[in-house]
Amino acid sequence: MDVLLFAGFLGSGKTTLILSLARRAAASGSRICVIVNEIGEVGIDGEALRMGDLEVRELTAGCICCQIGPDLVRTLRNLEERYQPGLVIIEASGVATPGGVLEALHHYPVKSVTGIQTVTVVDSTRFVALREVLTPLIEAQIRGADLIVVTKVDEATGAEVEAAKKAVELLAPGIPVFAVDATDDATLAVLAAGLIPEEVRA
Amino acid sequence: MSDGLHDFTLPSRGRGETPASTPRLLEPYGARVVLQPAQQELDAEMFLKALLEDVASACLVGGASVIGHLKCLVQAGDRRWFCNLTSTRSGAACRGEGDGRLSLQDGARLDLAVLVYGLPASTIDGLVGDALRSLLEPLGISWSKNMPSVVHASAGR
Ligand SMILES: Nc1nc2c(ncn2[C@@H]2O[C@H](COP(=O)(O)OP(=O)(O)OP(=O)(O)O)[C@@H](O)[C@H]2O)c(=O)[nH]1
Ligand SMILES: [Mg+2]
Repeated sequence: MDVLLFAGFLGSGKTTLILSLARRAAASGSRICVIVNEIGEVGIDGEALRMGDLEVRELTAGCICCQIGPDLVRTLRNLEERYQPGLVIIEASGVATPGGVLEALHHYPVKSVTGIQTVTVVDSTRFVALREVLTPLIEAQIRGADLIVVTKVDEATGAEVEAAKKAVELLAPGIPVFAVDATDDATLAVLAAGLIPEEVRA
Repeated sequence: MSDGLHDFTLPSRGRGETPASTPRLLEPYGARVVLQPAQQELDAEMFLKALLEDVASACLVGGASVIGHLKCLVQAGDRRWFCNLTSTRSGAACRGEGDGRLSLQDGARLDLAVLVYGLPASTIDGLVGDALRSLLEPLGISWSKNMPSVVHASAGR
């Protein structure tokens, strides 16, 4: 199974993108599962994803000091045995870094995971302000990505989008950057075509 | 092994004494609110939007340094409405099933998560209580609120 790992700060648009991408892949008949890890003790994303008719697993280690690694690996192994999805999409919590999650998967490999791609979601409307206050987190999220998706371009000013893109290019040189308005179907279709492996889409 | 969280956040328990000005304190706050059965309908969109916007503004006035994400889900019968807020500039955005008018004949359940930096959960709890009181009392809707240990919206269904 292929794994797509979505990271990005709280509220950056991970669930929104996952809903759209996973529904597209599921519509082509593929087995998709979304694993979601929310911080805090009240989980809402799992229900939002289920309302989109997706197969969902919630990692309920609600406290932010708990390690999600073992729970994640257990969930993946369970899926491997019982559901055999073609694609697993993981929504990391908004305060996790891709590196932290990948480290867990390298420590406890899951046999059938054939490839992992990391997507970091960057909220263009808040990027500058968030980076100023939460520098190490925001920068580590960007540095750990294979692809950056800059969201909310419909709501941001042109200058905000440019500032986010420029900073991202400096922090993660050579990493592709894709700007989206999550309500625009056409851009999301292009993103889905690039992100969802061909064998899953077929 | 690290899960990548420890460098950036503080544990969510036992920090009630941390001053509100600690900019990087993130104490995830969650509550489950039960709305008692009532005759009237609830305009879910209007209620949830006002709730998140009131709580977000109160958090900023109260000293929060960063709004992370406020999100909630109300379920009444087989209808659900979601609402999210990530900045007071954009305000809250809601979506759900039907026209948003929820029957409270059998009551309703509201799950709310407030993820803001710089305020202890106990302070957020007070602000949430104030907002609920000012929105629900004029409508004559009785409610009760608790801070669960772990609640995921699908649990118990
Ligand atoms: N205008 C606009 N709003 C967006 C876009 N993407 C996401 N949003 C809104 O941003 C809010 C947060 O989106 P989510 O997808 O829940 O964010 P998240 O990253 O999953 O949040 P957490 O799970 O709490 O970390 C929601 O109200 C979305 O509707 C976008 O491209 N444009
Ligand atoms: Mg989410």
